[in-house]
Amino acid sequence: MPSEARFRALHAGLIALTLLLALVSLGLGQYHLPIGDVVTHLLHPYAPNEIAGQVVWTVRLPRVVMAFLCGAALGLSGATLQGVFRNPLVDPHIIGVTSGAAFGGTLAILLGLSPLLMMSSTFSFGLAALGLVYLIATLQRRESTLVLILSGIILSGFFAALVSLMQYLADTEEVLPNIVFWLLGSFATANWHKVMLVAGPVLLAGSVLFALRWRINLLSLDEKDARALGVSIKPLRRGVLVSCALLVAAQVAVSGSIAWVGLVIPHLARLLVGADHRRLLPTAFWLGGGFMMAVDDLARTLTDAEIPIGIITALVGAPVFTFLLIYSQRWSAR
Amino acid sequence: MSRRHRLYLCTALACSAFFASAAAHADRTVTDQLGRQVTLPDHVHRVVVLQHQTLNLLVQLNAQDDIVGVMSSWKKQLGPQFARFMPKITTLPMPGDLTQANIESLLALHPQVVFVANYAPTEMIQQIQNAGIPVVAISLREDAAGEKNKMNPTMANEEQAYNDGLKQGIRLIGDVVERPKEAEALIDYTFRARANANAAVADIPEDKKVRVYMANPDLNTYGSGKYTGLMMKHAGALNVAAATVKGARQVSLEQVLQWNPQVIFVQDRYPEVVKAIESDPQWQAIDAVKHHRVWLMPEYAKAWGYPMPEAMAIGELWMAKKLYPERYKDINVDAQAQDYYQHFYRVSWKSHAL
Repeated sequence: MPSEARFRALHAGLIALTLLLALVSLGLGQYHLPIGDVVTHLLHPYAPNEIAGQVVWTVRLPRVVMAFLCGAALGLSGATLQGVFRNPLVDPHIIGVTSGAAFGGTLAILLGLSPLLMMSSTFSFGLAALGLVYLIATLQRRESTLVLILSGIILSGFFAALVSLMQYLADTEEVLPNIVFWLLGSFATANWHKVMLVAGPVLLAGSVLFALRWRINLLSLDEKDARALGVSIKPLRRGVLVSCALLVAAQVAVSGSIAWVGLVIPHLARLLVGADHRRLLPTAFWLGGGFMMAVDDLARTLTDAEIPIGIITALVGAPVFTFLLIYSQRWSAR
Repeated sequence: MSRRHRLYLCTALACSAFFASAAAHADRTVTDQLGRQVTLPDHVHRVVVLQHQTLNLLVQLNAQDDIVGVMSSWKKQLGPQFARFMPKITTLPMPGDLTQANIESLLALHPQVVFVANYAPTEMIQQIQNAGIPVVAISLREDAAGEKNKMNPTMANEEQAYNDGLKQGIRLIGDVVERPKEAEALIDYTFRARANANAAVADIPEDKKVRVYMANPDLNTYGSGKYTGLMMKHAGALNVAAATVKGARQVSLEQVLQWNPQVIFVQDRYPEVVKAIESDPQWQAIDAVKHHRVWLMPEYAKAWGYPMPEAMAIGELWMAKKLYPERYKDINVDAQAQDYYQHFYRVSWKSHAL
């Protein structure tokens, strides 16, 4: 495990790399703008009548910021959930929030609701899914990790079926393409309004998790051990799960469901800094944000049109995960 | 302030002056088919079109030279043979599709107007509009207020909603691209040809009508509420699925056996379905298959959810003649198709052209 000084250097390096990546992302796009122009425009206040300034300030900047926030949210919640459930195969789908939110979104598209109503429906169904997970756990009068995971799987399956039902009910010519595109995730319609909507929950839940980061280490211990240390597990776990749900629901509400990031990024972060959540959480946060910005760069520059994010995260994520598995196997065998 | 810096500032000022003057010239307002008021420049000659129906109509209004960007799925939606009517389409940039657009690709094309479908996401329309590009939404339907962007609109009178909607849509598109004369000519021709073609089968009583099934791949078919049903009605046919199925749906083979249609139509874009039905033992008991009446429709007979003028003008005629040849003895459908294609596509009609 790297020493404290090494971790600090790594952390600072990650932040610098992410900022650099953000700047590079601002220079990429279908509208031809040299990076020098981008910097000039960034240094000047936004002039609404100028097309290049408009591209930088109202198209690229909100999009890059939103991609960063969503990726960071997924990385952070994935790392936390893997710790809480003591299971490296866990990703944000496990607590049912992603599927619940996806159902809220497809329902809103089917009903033709306005964008704001659609985002609220997505967000509230995501949180409602976590509520239901706890309801099922309470009805079983147990609240162990196993019960929570099983309830999450039950609800994921249930909401996934509802999403399929919505797709089946949707008109194949008009509404279905909308639903499919939304479900695969996209930052194409990013604007400052959406950035604000996702920034609130990410900052709030992110700082809660960050403040709790050493306690999350305790959650990843055996429940008996943690109790022996005088920490009451259940309220802590509830707080952590609600924070994760906030992160995931906010991300799905603004950009549709995006798979793989929440699974792969925590593993990558663990390879870099080890399993201590005090180091793992910030690392996963920056890595997730940076990864998502890079993926979004591909999504908007590979073709003239937009490619859904979910396709690229899976195409990139699956080989990366395979590589990590092989690499970590060899590493531990040594 | 460096020289380079000053140059940027000057460019910026020049750009803003240009845009301000462009804004001052924009004194044309049209109402699109979502009921939105859209302000357009006086003269439009750079158009991006993200809806296939509108793309087809623009070509028929002889406005194909104004198109600078098209939807990415045009080939899938209109068929590869569409390039015959508009050869340069294969080289045009594709900045988006029915449900999404890459805003930077759009801006890079400097379009003066973007045509989108009425069911394009509100966010997408808003985003393009916020970037300063006028957006015109086309539904080809005349819906009541509040039903305009719905998927299953409540239509008091389907027939009228589609007829008036098509006329309204063609006029709107003609207005935007400054082809009002061409728009009126297309409307005139279409509805006149349709009235002529329909007359011969208008008096057939319900119980004497030929029972028809529309076969899409994998047992998908069209029920009521889409133009397909109207097309069959105008050709004197009865859609067997309309009684129990609404919109585009998958049905079971047992259901089709129960309906026992006398004729099966297959759209031009699914030629493999004809072979599949004719060779599948499960289908052999059906009346249409027994009597070899599984027919592939020509490209102009677009049995889509939305009516296209060529489907109304010659597609319905083709279908009617196929079903009731004795009532159309003196009518040469190919000659009429030829006439339509010469008029509006400026190419000659070839059957099974690729």
